[in-house]
Amino acid sequence: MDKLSLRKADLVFSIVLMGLSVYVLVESFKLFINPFGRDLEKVSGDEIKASLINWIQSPGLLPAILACFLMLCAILLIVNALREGARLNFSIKAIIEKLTNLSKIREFYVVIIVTILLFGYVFFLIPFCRANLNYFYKFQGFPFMIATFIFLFIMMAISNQKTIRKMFISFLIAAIASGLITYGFGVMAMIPLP
Amino acid sequence: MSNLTMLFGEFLKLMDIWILLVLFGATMMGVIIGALPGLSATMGIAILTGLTYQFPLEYTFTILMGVYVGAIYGGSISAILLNIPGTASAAATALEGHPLALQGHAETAIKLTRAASIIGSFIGVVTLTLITPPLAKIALMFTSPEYFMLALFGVMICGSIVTMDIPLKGWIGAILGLLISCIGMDKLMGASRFDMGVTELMSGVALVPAMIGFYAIPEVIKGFSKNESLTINKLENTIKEKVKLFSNLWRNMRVIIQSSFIGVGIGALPGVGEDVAAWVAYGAAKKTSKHPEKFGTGCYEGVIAPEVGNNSAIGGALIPMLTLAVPGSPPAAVLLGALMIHNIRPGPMIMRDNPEFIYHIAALLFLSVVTLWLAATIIAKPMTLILKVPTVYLMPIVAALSIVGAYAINNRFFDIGVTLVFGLLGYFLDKMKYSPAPIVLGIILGSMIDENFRRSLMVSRGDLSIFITHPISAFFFAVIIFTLVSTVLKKKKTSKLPEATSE
Repeated sequence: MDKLSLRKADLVFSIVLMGLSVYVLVESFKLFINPFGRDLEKVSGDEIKASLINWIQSPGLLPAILACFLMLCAILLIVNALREGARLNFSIKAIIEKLTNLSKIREFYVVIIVTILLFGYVFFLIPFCRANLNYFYKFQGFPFMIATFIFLFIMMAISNQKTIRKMFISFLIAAIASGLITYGFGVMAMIPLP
Repeated sequence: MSNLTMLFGEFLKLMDIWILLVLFGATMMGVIIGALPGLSATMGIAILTGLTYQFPLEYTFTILMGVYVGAIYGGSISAILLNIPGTASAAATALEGHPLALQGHAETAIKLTRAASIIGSFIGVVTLTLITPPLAKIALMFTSPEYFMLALFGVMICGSIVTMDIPLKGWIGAILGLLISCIGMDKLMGASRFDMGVTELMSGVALVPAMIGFYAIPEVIKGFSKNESLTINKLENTIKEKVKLFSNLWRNMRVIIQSSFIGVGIGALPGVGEDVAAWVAYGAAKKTSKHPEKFGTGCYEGVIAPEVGNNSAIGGALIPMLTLAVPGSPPAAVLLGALMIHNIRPGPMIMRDNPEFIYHIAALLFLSVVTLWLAATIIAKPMTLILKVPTVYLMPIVAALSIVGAYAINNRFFDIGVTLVFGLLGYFLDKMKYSPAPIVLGIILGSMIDENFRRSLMVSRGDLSIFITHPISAFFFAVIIFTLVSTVLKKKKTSKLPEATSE
């Protein structure tokens, strides 16, 4: 990322940080007056008063201080970015242009694909295989092995050259790796597999 | 019992064929992890912490220490052969090592870095053995204000030094880490914080999944993004020369001693670690060299200095980790997490509750030095083949191992979710030049800061002067202020320089 783009990213991120610090401040304030998160109608005025008197014990104390420092850092980040020439353009044309430029970058697609594959593997493929492929009572890792094999093969195949030889190598490595991971950790080391 | 007797006792305990074999295998695995670009010592230890969770304790730490020592050395192999440092701590080695490889001296450079790493690790362990017990006794004087200031010092120093862009980003990372550590049940009152109604968050963010997320997943994504072919130099010297290893090392004894002191010292600074130690050792070697003009063109002095520096930092980094529960480097931070999940509480009480543990770690490190020599010698030749493994095959396997490692600690799918979410966050933060080290250190030290801050205020009935009336606490406070002010002034000075030159 070039320096100007980095500073623009800093500008956007500092807004996110400001939002986060406001959220933490609000939650910390709630912790000051009602540390155990009970319904506010059930909390008496005396209890709130006692909580405020004992502010030094409050679980919201450190988060509130951190939120203030985070806000300060976010402001300094904005100042630094503006001083180094970064400006944010919120016009629709500029945003469309940014998105078009972004879509031309290979890494943008890589991030999306890898993210989808990782989430798909964890939250769809593994549970699906667990639910449908639990055939072997004595080999509980079998569904995980199949899910891992599919995940590894898809990941390798997508990013590899699309030749039969490379596909075969991907297939072979995915099969060996998933077998080794399942047997090595699940059977030999007796680590619970997802 | 004297230090040496206890150390000897731990050596004897480790003289078990299986432990030695496991240590050898772990060191070799560490060398491979360190050498492969994209895999780092911290990532390796983070993933293995999860994967070895069910192992007997003596094997767990044998594996983790072996990987740690091996990986810090391993980075230098790819730095020399590929000009891509396998780990960040080998970046300085690449400056001299790769030119040497291009000149046909790859084999000599690798042999020298191996010897330098072994010497560095050895000096680090000796320092660890000598300094840790008395330091632990001093640490017994620490009360809540001292602990608070020490932990804050650790996080702030790490934020100031380990930054890829402006120091402000290091501090933001540290604050984010501290905020993440606030999630879950607070230990003084038992109130749940920032759980957003998610039951699993009431027990807080699990350390190992978070660490795997920050260190492994971004590397997986980056590994796929690069998709570049590598040019690997030949391992054998193409120029005929008789490698006089010992005379070469003897000639550079001054650099070795200087770099080892730098390595141990910087390693002992909370959260700073091997990368900075290597750079500072390299810089100091260049400054004090009789032939500074040779630096950058491929000189042996320049490959020895960073390797001694980064490997001696291992022992240095373990000193505050064991005595004060404040890790000296990112891999040590992950190691601290591993100790915590195995119910070993490092800190001042370790000399009272578990005194043999310090010597156990020291003995393991000593043996790792020996296994490093063996493993590095054996693996040197096949390494040119291993380095050819394309990332398209390697990274999916790293991703699958990360997921198994994240799940293994608590057997919860939620933890895998934590790994993925922090992995994505880590990737975007990395793109914006935020280092993961201050964030992870913030997560680890957050509860220490929170508990001791409030406990101190309770003792002083809200009087903040408690933090400056205790001498040790006042000292740390002064160092924090000095570091912050000097970092800001340095930044101002460097930002003014280009303006002045442009005028």
